[in-house]
Amino acid sequence: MQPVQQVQRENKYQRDRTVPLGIAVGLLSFSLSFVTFRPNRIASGSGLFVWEVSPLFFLLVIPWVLCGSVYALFLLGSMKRERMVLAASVLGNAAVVGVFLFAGGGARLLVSPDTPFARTSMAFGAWTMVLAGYILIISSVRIRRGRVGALLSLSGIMAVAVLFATGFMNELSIVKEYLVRKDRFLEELGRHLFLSGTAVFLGAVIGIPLGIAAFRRRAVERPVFFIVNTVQTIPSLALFGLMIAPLALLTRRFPLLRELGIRGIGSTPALIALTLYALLPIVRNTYTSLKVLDPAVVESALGMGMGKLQLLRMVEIPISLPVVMSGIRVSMVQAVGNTTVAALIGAGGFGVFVFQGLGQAAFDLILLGTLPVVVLAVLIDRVMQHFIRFITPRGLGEV
Amino acid sequence: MIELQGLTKRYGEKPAVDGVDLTVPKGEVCVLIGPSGCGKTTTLKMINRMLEPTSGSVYVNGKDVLRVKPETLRRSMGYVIQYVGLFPHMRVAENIGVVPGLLGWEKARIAKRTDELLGLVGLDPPVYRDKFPRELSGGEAQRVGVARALAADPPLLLMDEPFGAVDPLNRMVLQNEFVRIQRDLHKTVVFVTHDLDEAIRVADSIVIMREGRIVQHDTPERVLAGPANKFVHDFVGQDRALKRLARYGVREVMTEPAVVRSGNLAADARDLKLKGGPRYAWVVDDEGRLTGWLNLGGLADGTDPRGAVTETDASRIGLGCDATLREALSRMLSEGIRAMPVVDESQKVIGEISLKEIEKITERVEPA
Repeated sequence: MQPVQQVQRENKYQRDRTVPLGIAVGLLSFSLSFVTFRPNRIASGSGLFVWEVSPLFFLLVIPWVLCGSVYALFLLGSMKRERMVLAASVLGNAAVVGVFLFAGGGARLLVSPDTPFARTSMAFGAWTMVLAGYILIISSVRIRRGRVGALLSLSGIMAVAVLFATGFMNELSIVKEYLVRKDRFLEELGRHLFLSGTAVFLGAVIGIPLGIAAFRRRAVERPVFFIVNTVQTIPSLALFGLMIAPLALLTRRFPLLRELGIRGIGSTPALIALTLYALLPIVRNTYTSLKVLDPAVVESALGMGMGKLQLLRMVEIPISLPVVMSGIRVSMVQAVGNTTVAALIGAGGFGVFVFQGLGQAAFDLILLGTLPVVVLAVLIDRVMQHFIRFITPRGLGEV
Repeated sequence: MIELQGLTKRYGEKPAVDGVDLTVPKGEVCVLIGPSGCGKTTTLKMINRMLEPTSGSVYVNGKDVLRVKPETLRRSMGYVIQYVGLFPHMRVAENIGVVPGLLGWEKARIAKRTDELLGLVGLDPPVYRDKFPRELSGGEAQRVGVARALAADPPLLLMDEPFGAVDPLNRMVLQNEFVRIQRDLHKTVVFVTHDLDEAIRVADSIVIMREGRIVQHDTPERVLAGPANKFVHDFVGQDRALKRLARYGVREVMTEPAVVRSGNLAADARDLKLKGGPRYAWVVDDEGRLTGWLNLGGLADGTDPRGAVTETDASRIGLGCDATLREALSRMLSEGIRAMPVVDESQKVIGEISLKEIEKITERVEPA
């Protein structure tokens, strides 16, 4: 009995090559430049390898060597899979923290009075190493015991956050860009959240009834989906631009609108366009949630004496809510990304930094605009995921 | 209890249900049956107003259903459909408690009733009450469906092909369960099916429909023994005699078994022969359990009967006491014998059935 089970288990795991992949990518990253050093913020810089930054670079190598040995032990059979993977995750976390530590520390080391305007930024090598660390972390996704895993990733994130918060990373170029425009950054964060949030909210307010109507009537379904699908294919820049002229015309005709703050450029056209984009996932998911609702369920509900309202409250909404929420989740993540472009027509948001950076050819300013958007999107996605799991009735399984 | 008067449903030109008059007395299981499109389901659905009649009326307990709000009406009737329609986001107990909840029962009363019903439909309450519908098999789900329909103890039950989505083996089990439950509860039931065997098994009266009209309304025996016209005759099929046999359990028809005890073979055999006995006798052990059979007819006087015993057991030639005459006939044909002992759960012989008894049944015509 014993040997057969073990063989079966080993076979399943041998197919999973996450850990060796992580190790391979990690080692590869050492061959790429870890940081880029520029004499000033707009000049193109030169790449520096880890060993060119500091002799302490071997500290960075340690997690990878350890991981390699752990994996070797596993292959030789002296370590159980579970243990190996857990160790790999811990080492992955350590590696990621190590990258930021080394980048921040390296930036400080490279400061010199000869190059007062010099800038250091993380380069491909650093980011690839972070990626490799992440691969190691997710290798334990299947066996991770809920709390242990959460604690693990949380501690890694906290450590990096602490590094930034204490000002240790302040010599990094991107942090410098941030420090120069801290207030503006917060302002644009607010605007960005306002735009995406409002767009999704309006998208839900309009989209959910539209989805329901489309389900109930064929005559509504075709035009609604046609419009919503078509809108989705219009490049965001074009859509934003298209808003300007009609709105400008409108506000000229009705000066009252101007007083309300509606103008041809700025948040109004941005909001309209963003809301239009937000519609598709919501409309489609609402429609689908109703379509997959088992007609036998509705029939038996009515047959046992439920009124229309009770049917809605006790049956239709609880069952379709998770799917609708999933649509909203997609819509939110999309909106956060789309809002970046809104800066181009004066609506604000993180796009401001992106386009400023593009105009100034300042790489790290562009990054200052892009990274927060990515982080926001991932964060929102995660939070929504947990929220959806929370509101999904047990009997329905995964949505 | 239920009266349909001139009930009609039209979709466009041709009526789906055309002037149906039907009375279902209290406590009767009335089965509507007929080919696809004959209007049986439409008729059923007009009783609880899932479909509104074009003309005609439905009276339940003397009250016109059109005067009552549909929701109120339906809460007083159980409704079981083919695909069950259990609420997937609720546990079994919550599913069953829906109608009582709508009627305002308190939680304690609902919980008690739920356990009672689970027991009634053959599902162990502590095991099943917290399960979700997706964890149930087809048969279990429909049992819950029936329990759910019975939750508020409605006097009337409407069932639309309730066992249609279940595999044939389980279908028979559920039919038997239904008969058993009905024996205790005496509900008035309107039951739609397209399966004649099912109808014969469960019905007190059968209504055969065709193209929206009632063609014959009779007890199962009379439908089988005397089909009203060619349509019914063809619908019922050439094997009506066999179908009739399904109505009878072996228990109703079995006779005293001719039994000899293995511990007292010679004496018992002699006694039976003296009484002008049968050709075959069943050999049982001290507890009455079947161990073989004895060919009395071939036994000359004075010979040791032990040599004439064929050893066998209940699984080969024994009939379970819940079997129908139809199964009895089928087994006799496959084993090539003219008589079989009837045994209970512990394999004790409690009666016997012979081919002759079965023939008597098929020759019998039920009194009007």
